Formats: sequence, C-alpha cells, structure tokens
Amino acid sequence: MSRFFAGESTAQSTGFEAAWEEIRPKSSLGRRVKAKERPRLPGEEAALKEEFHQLLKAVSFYEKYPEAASKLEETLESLKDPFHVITLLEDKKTLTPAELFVVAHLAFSSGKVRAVLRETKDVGWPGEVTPPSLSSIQKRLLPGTSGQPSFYIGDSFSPELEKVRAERKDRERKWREEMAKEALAVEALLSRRPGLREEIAIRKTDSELVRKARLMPELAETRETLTHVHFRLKATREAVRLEREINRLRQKEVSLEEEVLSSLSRELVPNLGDITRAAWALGKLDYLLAKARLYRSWGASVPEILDSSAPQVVLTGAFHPGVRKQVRERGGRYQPISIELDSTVAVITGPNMGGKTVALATIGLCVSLAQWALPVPCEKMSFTLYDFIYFQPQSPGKPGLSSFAAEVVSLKEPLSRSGQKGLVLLDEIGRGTNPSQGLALYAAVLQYFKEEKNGRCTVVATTHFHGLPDLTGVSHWQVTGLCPSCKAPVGNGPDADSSKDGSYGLNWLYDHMDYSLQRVGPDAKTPQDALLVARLLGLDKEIIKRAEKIFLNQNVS
Amino acid sequence: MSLAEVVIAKRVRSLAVVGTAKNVGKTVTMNYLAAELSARGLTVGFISSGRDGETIDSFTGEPKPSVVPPEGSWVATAEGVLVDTGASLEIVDVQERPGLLGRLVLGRVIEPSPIELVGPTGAKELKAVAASLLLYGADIVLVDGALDRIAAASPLVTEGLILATGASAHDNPRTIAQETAALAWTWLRPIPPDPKVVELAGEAMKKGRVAFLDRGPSGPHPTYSARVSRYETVLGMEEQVLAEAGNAAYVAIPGAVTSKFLSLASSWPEQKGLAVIARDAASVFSRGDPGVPLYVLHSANLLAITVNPVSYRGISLDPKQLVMSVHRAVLKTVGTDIPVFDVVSGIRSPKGESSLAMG
Repeated sequence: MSRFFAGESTAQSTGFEAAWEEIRPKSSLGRRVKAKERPRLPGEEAALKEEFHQLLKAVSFYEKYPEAASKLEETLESLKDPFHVITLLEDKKTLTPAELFVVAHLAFSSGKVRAVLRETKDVGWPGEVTPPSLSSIQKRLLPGTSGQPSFYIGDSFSPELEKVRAERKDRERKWREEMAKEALAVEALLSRRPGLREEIAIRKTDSELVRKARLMPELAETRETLTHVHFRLKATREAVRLEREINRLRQKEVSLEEEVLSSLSRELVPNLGDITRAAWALGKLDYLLAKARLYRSWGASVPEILDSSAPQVVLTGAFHPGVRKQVRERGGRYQPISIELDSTVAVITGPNMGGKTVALATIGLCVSLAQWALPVPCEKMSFTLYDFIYFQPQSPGKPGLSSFAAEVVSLKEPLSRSGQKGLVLLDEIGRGTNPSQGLALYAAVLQYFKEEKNGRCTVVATTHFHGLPDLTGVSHWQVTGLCPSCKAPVGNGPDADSSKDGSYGLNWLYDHMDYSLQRVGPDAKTPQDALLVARLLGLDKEIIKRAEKIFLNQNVS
Repeated sequence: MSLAEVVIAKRVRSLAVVGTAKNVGKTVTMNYLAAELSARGLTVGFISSGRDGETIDSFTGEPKPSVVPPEGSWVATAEGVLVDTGASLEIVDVQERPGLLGRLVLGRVIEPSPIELVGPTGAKELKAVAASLLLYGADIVLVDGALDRIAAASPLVTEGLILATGASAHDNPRTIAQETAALAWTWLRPIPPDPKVVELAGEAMKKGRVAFLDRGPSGPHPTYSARVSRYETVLGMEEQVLAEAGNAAYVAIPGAVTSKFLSLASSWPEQKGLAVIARDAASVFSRGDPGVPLYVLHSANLLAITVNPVSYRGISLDPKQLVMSVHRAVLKTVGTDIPVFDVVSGIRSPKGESSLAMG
C-alpha cells in the first residue's frame, strides 16, 4: 500500500486489507482498475464527492434494476482482457484469429453493456463508465453474428479466398475418388477396403500374400519389420497431380488467410483509441459495480466530506465488518459505535474486553475506506481528508525488539509527519513498561500532538492509565462497559464448572458488555474491571481472591 | 458392438482415452472413436490433459498421427499451437488464464485438419473445460490423457475411461496382457460396501487428512468411527501412518496412495484386515493387486481397452492374438468382461467366456 498508510501494519490492523479483498470485480479489466486505485488526499475533496455520487448511482441501479444488473454482471464476467492485443496493434503487428476474437468479443460486449446502460439511463451513468460504440468493429469482425460472438476467417472476408477454398475442396474430392479406385483394387487382395492413407501390414509368414502385394501397382512397400511387410496405397499419376495442386492451393489459401488477418489488423489501428477507451470504461464500470455490491452487502453508506481545514471525524453507527462477521458467526449481537473526533486528541478508556481496540480499528477503517472512495461501514459519517493514517497496534512485534521498544521505534513515523494532516490511532502506548513512566511518555506524546504548531493530526488513544485524559486535557471517551446493576456470575455458582475454559464467562461478557462510547469528563475514573474479567475468564479463584486483597490494600494505603 | 456403440450404450458425456505407454495408438483410438461417434450423429469435443510429448515418431522420424477432429466438433487447445490450424477453427472463447503455450482457445471445427491438443493439467480445470465444450454443443467430450498425465482419467473429471495399450509397451503379448490386466484391476477398484464407511472416508478426505476408521462392537450392523490423524499424506510417511493404524478396519488417504504404503500395509505385523480407501484410481500409484483390500471413493468406469499390435521398434504382433490375450487376462484378473478392440483391423474380443475358450 502507499505511504498513506503510515506504520508497517496499519492497512492490515485496521481491517482495510481484508475489506479491500472483498471488492471483487468480475473481469480482469475491473481488476486492472482496482489495481490502479490510490487514496484521495486533501485537495481532492471535489473529485471524491463526485466518486461517492457515482457509487450511489450504482447502488440505486442494483436496487431498481436487479435483472439488468445480473445481465450486466454476466457480460462483465465474460470479458477478455484486450490489453495484450492493444499493445500488438500499437506495434502494428498482425493479429492471430484468437487475438482478433478478443477484439471482436470486446466490441460485442461493449454493445451489450451500452444497451443495458441505455435501458437504465435514468440511473445517470457517468460518462467514464460508458464504453464508446465499437459497432463498426463488431460488424467487420463478426459479420452476421447475432448470438454469442465467434471468429473465423470466413469466405466473406475475401472473394479470392472463397474461390481458392472451393477449388481446393474440389481437388480433394477428386483425389479421394481417384484413390478410392486404388482401394477398390486392393480390396480384392485383402478382403477389406483399406483407408486412403492407411498403412497395411502383411505378416511375412503369409509369403504368398506379400508376393502378390508386391506385384500390385496400386500398392507401394513402405517398410519391412521382423514380422511384417508394410504397404500403402500408391497414388496414381492423376492423384499425384491432384496432390500437387492441392498443396499449391493450400499454400495460396494460407497466404490469403494471412492477408485477411493483416488487413483486418490494419483496419483496427485507427480504432485503437476507442478500443482502449472501451476497455477502461468496462473496467471502471466493473469496479464501480463491485463497490456497489460491497455497499449493499455491508449495509454501508457514503461519507459527507467536509472542506474544513480543522481535521474532524464524526461516525454514527459505525461497525467493523470483520469483527461483526465473527460476532454474528458465534450468534452474538454486534453493537456499532458512534464518536465525534472534533478536537485534536481524544482518549478512549474502558474495561478490558470493552472493544477499545475494535473502536480504534473501526475509526481507521472508515476513514481509510472513505479516502479510497469506497463504501464506509457506518450509518453516517462526515470527515476531512487526511494525508496519512497511522495505527499503532498492541504488540507490534519485531524481531530483536521488546514490545515497548518496537512501539517507540514505530511512533517515530507519525511524530515526524505531525506537520501533515494525519489520523493517528494509538492503542495503549506505554503499557509494556513501568506504569508511571509509561503514563508519562503517553501523556507527553499526546501533548505533543495537541500543541497548536503540531495540531494538524487527529489522535485517538486508548488507555488503562488512570489520569491520562486529565494530564493531557483532551476530550475523553469511555466504553459504557458493564452495567453497574448487572450481576456477574460468581465462581461457586452453577456456572462455575462450565467456566473452566472461560467460555461461559466470555459469553457472559459478550452479552452484558455495552460497547457504546460516551463522552465523559477528563477526570472520569478509568474502569477497574480487570479482576472481574479475569474471574469470568476462569482464572484460578484463589489467585483472584489474593489479587482482590492486594488491590484493596493498595487503595487503602 | 463397435467401440462407439459401447461408449454410446454407457451414456457417458466425457471420456478419457489414456495411453499406457507411448505409441500405443491412443491418437488412432481417439480419431477412430470420434469418426464413429460422428457418423452416428453425435458431436464430439476434444481436450487434452497437458501436452502429449513429442510430435515426431522417434522410430520413423515422421510426424506422429495427430488428432483430426471431425467437422462440427468442438476443440479446446492452447493459443500457441493454433498457428497452423487456427484458420480451420471458429473461435468461440479465449479463456483468460494463461496455461501451457498461452491461453486456452475453444472453437468449432469448420474443416477437419490435424490439430495438436494442449490443455490444462489440473483436474478441476479439465473438468471445467469439458463442461464448457458440452455447453457449447458437444454431446461427448474425449479427453486425451496418459499415465503420466492421469488427471484426465479421474472419475472426478471424466465419466468413462478407455485404456490404450499395445506392442510399444512390450514385445510379448503375454506381458502386455498381464500389465494391462494389472492396470485394469486398479482402475476397477470398488467403493466400500458400507455407506457409513463411504461417508466417514469422504469427510476425512474433505479435511485433507489421513483417517483411520475403527469398527465398533460387532453386531448385525457394524458401526464405525473415524480417527483423523495429523498426516496430510502417506508419501514418505508410510511407516509412521501405519504405526498409528491400531485395529482400524480402514485407512482413508486423501492424496497419493504409494505402492510402498500398500506393500507395507499388506505385510504390517500388527495389522490384520486393514483395507485402504483412496480418493480414486488416479491417486493409486501401484499396479495390480497389492495384497491388501483397496477401495476408492469415486469408482472409474473402464469402458474398453484398445490395443495396437504394431510397435515403433518394428514389432507387429498378431492383432487377434493380442486382443484375445488382453481380454482373457483382464477377465481372469478382475472378473469383468471389458471389451478389447484393435480399431485398425476391426478385431474385437468376443463376449465373456468365449475369449477364455479361444485363448
């Protein structure tokens, strides 16, 4: 991916790579267009708005014209990639029949696509996905084709070719008649009529038959093996003459066929512009429809693009498609999130298993998809364009570096780009070192981003460090978490046995966790649910009891 | 009954013609069969599993016979070999994925002319191409195969199989007959009789793991349970796999079943009565009865055997004697009357026991 994704794993950790794989154009032309895609950067707001406008048109096409959509998809699926042929034509090369077929097929498919776009013109198809008419090419290469396209150097391409082929076929017929006379004569000897080009093997032990065969003017001896003598029908003088003529006519035919191929190829050269435009238009249409399919399958939306110079992201009902799929597969309920990132730095706190990392990934995914002009997985989104996105995942893991060291090394990139507009997503920085210095470092990083001279980034940071929002004076969001009135199952209850592997407690957590985010004051307490979560996940009861005691003593002292 | 009549009677829509060695008349068989089927009003399709080696006969130095598809038949072959014959094809599709010698071109034969067939090697691709030719209008698709390009013969690809053998494989009719019978034995392996065994073995194959099927307590209806091993193959792991067999009644093997595995299984000291289940005969790399019960999940449909009595080494065997020897040996080994033909001389084996009497 491009430098738009800062850090080594941003595209993967946000879920962008997986989402990208879900965009599946039907044709190699669509895949070409997809491969050329890149993110839209600040300054390209108007173009991006237009692209989302086009995406909504494609979505409306699927909704309004399902039959036409499946017809169009079928045509796109059958497209042949013509770019190799285009290069050959640019080099003024003569195309083979298979290559001409590819051009003919493109012309045919363009015609079909144009017809569907015409029938559904109220969709308001953008010009760039409408292939130019290649009907003259279609007429030239596919004379008389109505159904599926096919290409053959038929007689209609050259009256001379037609004449030569007819002559050659006539000579071949005469040759067969001539040779059939020979075969008839041999039939009397062998008691069966040999094939005209067949080799006849006679056992040497049948010496009388071999002798007779050798005397027959109709047979020519071809070879002798240990056990057999082999013969073939000998061509008569007339047959030999006909063979020569057939060969001459065949050569002529081949040369005339080459002339047809050459002339057809030459005729295509002036149409190269239209052929290339048609190929790209079909590819763009295919890619646009692939995006629309993803929009529909996710239940996605398109974002509102803000022109404001201050960075801003507002998400309503945002979801992470990969996580939502996993939750649904285990029969759970997925809870979307909403957040307003209207200040430079925001901190998210919440209990363990409260979905903080997923919230970060969701924010990163929505913004990155939006900047690639792709559907966004949320009910509503408004945002400003960024120069880069950085996601510092937990345990970035680098050989030879501790998780803390890897974190520090990785952080250097967004810090060095703080003069640009960046979306910086930090997941529990400093948790791999001693808490007091970890907190200090984290706070310093956030303060750095918050300072006005560096304040071009939107930073979202998750933490368990109590006091980080207060220290940095940034906006504070919190996962709603477990409701205070919910009673967590106790270890000695009927559920104790079933929670040995933690599955009961895990399911309980899934069911009772409120993953929504709410804005709280900077001094709001960081949830202290670690021991509860550990107990729910089936950790030894004795250890939990000890931990609770130690925790209590610490807080009292 | 002619070869074409045998094929028509079995109602197969795809048929692999597999040569047991070079110069055993596979192409002659294909041409003969195609001509016969065409004469009966059927439209034939042609594809090849991979490419059929040299095009020049190493003995005579002359071009080896080529497939000559009849007018109106359907052909799939690589773009790269169509330079000389492209003009006689009406091209209807050029497939996107490049293969051996370029993309695969599908076309209808406008005028019969020799054509080299080059096709995909993978079973899935072959099956898809055969299906395309049937969709375009072929009534039956002939797949050119060889023992070293065996995917064509898998029952997962083709519905029927013809084995082509002959004097090029050996000089001695008896040896040809025995080898062909051994091959036929492998290709006629049955499906396990118990549907539960078939189901469990099928599930193990889907997982891509070797699995042992243990028989439950004896009773009127035996029960089985599967023990899926950690092995994905027995290749190079023969001893380790067998060491874990315990008292299994069957071992289901998803990939290649090696002759070493079969041979070890037949003499494994702790194993009595272990039967082997392969995916299909194409996965069995052993010829003839290995001394251990061998089953397949997908059984092949061996329709006929063709013999070529003439070899490139200058040996011409007596066609009738060769036909009878092969037929007799196959009947004796597998107990099935597989018709044997020499398509050039028109000699064919008689039905059932009469061949034994003549031999």
